[in-house]
Amino acid sequence: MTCSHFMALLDGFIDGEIETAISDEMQHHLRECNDCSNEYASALRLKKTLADMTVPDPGNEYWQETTDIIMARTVGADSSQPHNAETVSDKRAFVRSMLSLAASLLILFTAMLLGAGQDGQSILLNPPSAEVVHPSSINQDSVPMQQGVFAPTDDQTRLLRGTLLLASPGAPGLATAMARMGVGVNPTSDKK
Amino acid sequence: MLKSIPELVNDFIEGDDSAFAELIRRYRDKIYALGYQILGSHLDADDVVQETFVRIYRRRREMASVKYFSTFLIRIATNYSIDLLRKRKSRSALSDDASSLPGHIQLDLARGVPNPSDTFEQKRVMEEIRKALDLLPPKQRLTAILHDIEGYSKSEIAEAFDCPEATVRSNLHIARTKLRKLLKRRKDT
Ligand SMILES: [Zn+2]
Repeated sequence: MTCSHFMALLDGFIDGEIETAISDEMQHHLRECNDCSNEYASALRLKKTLADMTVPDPGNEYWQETTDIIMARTVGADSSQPHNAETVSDKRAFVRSMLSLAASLLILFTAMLLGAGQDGQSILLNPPSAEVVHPSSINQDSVPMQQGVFAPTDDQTRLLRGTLLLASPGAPGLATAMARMGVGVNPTSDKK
Repeated sequence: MLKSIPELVNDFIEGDDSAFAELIRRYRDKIYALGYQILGSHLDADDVVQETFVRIYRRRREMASVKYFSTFLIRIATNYSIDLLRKRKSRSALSDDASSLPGHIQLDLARGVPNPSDTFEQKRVMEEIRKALDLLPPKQRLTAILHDIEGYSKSEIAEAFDCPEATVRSNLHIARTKLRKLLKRRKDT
């Protein structure tokens, strides 16, 4: 075995990865060659020193604290934000409340118009010669939007009733859904 | 009964937070040691432990395609450690041109307190080795630390670095040769 051949196999030799036949040849070369013997001793010493490199033990208290911090930064940060399933249900709640708001508006206007029909007056306007409006005949012509902006006391009462109709159930549902979806609220930022 | 790592990883992917906590408990000291050996201080090692597990948690959906959890963990930890090393290098390069000199005072200050059970001679040798390791390029340094200090196999390192085993052997050979020369030079001076 030549010195260069020995040196090429030195790493494998000290890591115990060389097959027996070649390893025997290397042992033989070591007994005969001073240079390779010195290189081998130096490599072995380095390997042993590296293997002995210790790390100070930070202690149980450190481990408990660090594990808690990691859990807070991961699982904790995740649970403070809505999960996907919740987001979907919140979206559904939002759609539901929008539909119920639309239904409330429809009921309000129908109620206002019906009320106006019973009193023989339109709620949205107060023309002196307003005709009796039957629900089935409500159209743009019988409710001229351009005339009159002030509603008299009776009409204000009807407006109030309509507003109450409007408020339930759409508005609270909408407000809740918007709050749960975080509309207007800053999402929890990921802390370092 | 104690769950196996693949079982824990599977539970973790499926959203079991207690499995994640158990994975932290089983691997935290290995990641701490790795961070400490690469960066040389308790503060940096702590940073590596926290950031590695936070990144693992964020990437848990990728875990299903990961062959070995431990090598994936090493990859994340070493990549983050290299980032820290680079940041530290560029920081000290800005503040001090002598940062690459052996025995740079900034690195010495960053080091933690050595284990009190070590003898004075052991401490001195370890300090010499750390200084010599600091002078190696990142891949050679990491290979030497992972293989010769932390005891990972060449195939594990190849898996972690996503490179052929021959590259690991070559990096290890260069690192060992340089370390021997550096230590010899220090001894002679
Ligand atoms: Zn020889």
